[in-house]
Amino acid sequence: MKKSHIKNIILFLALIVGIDFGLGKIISNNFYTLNYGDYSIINKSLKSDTEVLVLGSSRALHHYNPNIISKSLNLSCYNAGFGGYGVFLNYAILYEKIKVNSPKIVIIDLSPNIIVDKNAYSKLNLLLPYYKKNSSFKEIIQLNPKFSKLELVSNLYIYNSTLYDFTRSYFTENNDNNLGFFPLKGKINKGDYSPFFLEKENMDENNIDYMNKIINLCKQNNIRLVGVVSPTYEKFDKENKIISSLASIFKNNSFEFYNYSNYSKFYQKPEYFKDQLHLNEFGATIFSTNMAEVIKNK
Amino acid sequence: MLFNSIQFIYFFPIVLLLYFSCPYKWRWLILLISSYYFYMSWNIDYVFLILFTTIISYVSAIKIEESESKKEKKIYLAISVIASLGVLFFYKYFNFFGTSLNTIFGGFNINTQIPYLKLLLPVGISFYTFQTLSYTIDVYRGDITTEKHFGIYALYVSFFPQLVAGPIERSTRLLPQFRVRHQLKLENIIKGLKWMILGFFMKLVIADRLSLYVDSVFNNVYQHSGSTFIIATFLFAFQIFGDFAGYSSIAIGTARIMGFDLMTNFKRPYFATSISDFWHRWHISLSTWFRDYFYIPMGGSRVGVSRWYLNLFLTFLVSGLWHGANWTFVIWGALHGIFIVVENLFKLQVKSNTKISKLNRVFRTIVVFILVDFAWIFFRANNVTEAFYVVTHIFNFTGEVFYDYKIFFYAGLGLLVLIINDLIVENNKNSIIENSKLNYTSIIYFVFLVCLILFTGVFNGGQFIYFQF
Repeated sequence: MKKSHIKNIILFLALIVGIDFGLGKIISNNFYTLNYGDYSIINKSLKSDTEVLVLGSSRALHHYNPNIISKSLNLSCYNAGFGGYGVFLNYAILYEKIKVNSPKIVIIDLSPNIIVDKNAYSKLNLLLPYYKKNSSFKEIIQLNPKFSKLELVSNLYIYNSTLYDFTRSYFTENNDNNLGFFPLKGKINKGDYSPFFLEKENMDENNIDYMNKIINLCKQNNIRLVGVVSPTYEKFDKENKIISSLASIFKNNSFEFYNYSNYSKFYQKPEYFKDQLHLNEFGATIFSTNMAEVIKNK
Repeated sequence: MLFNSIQFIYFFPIVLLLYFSCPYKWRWLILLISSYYFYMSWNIDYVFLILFTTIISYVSAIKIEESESKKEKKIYLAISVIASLGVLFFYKYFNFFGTSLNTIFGGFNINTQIPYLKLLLPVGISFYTFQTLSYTIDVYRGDITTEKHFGIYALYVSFFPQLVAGPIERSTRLLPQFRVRHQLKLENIIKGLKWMILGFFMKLVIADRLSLYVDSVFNNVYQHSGSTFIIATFLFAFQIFGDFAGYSSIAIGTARIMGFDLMTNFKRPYFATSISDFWHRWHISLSTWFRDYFYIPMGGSRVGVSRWYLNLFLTFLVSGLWHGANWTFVIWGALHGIFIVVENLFKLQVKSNTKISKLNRVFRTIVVFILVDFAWIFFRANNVTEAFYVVTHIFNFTGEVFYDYKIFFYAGLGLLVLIINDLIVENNKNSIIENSKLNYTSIIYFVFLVCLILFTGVFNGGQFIYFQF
């Protein structure tokens, strides 16, 4: 009885380890072929060979149309904007891209909230699939105070919640005509509008450190770095303090910085916005054209 | 400390190692220190409250036993009950009643100004309070003799697997187990691990995944349509089941590995064929507690018909209030009270030994599920206004349906596994978990569950819902 129990427990554990290793290996080998979901956005950003790279949060993702910028500057462009990770993910993507091929221009959209956002830390664990393969990702994942190396023991855990992406990926055509750009449809409904405000105005030190790291990477690799605060439906209030600090960081390092947060062309114009922080497709087209001109004429 | 935390992965094996390597006479101490450490990891100050409740009930019980007159016994019982419930009332209900009274008197232009106190609700206070109450009442009734060893009694109140969210154990069942010289048995490890795996599966794969959808709907009710409310309410039924039954399973499994036998708290509640059947399957340790210490002392069913209905209704009403200091819980309890009274009034129950047709069983199961699920709206809503907004708009199908295919995909996968498992157990009465053998079928099943947890579980889902109670 006991002997068969022990044998079965060993079999149970061996099966878990075997499946975890085997399935993990299969997923790992196919991970970079994903063409659906958040990871596919990051994968495509890492793979893209581009001369102009757009970085930033969801505001970058929805505001900069690479086709327009590319046409205007006559340079290839890719939008690697991604929300929820502060500037940490921007740094990791830029670092990995420079290792392969350095872009000529980096446009970084700087919303005050990404410099303040403390929630970014808990999300860093979602980047676990890149931990072993990309040193910069390893560095930023470790910023999460709750991260434990125990989480790396299971391969299935590392690729947690990718099953849906793999399933959708199987039925989705690999199409990246928008070059990372994700236009938003519809326009802001004044009735649904609620003013955006930051809960805290203290900048997060790690985010500032990584902003400086991005600046240093650009300096070392002769990349033209352009800092932009893209338009908002309403004027920022106390966020202006953060924007001023960011502007001085850029200016002290002799990089361009443009603040369009209070830009009259967009201010309280519902036809340009999906919500108070995000431009819709029409607004993004106007803004991308405008931004491309500014970069071209400088 | 949460069961679904990294700390617990370290904590439990250490406790297990210390417990079984320690001489028998000191094992209670290992468990007591571990339990207090487990509890203090939330907030160190909580420990004083649990200690206070423990001391009061311990001393009162001894005094009750020593007293020769009935009157004296009653006085000591009253001291214990008032002290334990007083702490519970102060921390859990003071602000609720204060705000409610201010509002009521405000309606009559009487300014009562009962202050709102900044109180942090101690985790699991309702659970351990009820456990101490049952002990002193049992001693008063003469059902048990007192536990003279203060350390073992303190362990009975604070035993970490069931401390913060039950099952609410009875002294007659749990206290004697602390005197048993437990051996580390392979059978217990297998059975315990099976319970734990099932619990983690229910919590991480089902409950925490569904919470992503349910929370975003119920925390923004004014932005959603009737169709969305129907989906969210339907899913909440499984979220709360996965969350609470999942916790109970982990608790039972943790205790089982150490050799302790905790009571079963859930028996596939959504297969219930009547509301009373539902309460024989859902949170069994609480419903039997209310039966033994509230309903029966009030006269139970051995009174006139109208008083019996009142007893039934009041039992569920108070049970609702036990869950939380909010009118939503009171309404939830009242709804169940009404359901049960109506069921008795029209004799709609089916006794467990009565055979009914499959069609009748399916019909009854659906009706009971709809009623229970409707009541969940009040349980989940953030306040009464929002609950009534949901209820009054649930059949308003204008507006967009909020959907998230990713959540539906993962939760659907988990629910499919759970429903198949429960259907098999319900029809065959043969639980793969209760069986301490690890045959090939159970190996494949539990390997599958572990892989599903690792690959599709939500690991940053946070606390269990019932901790707030």
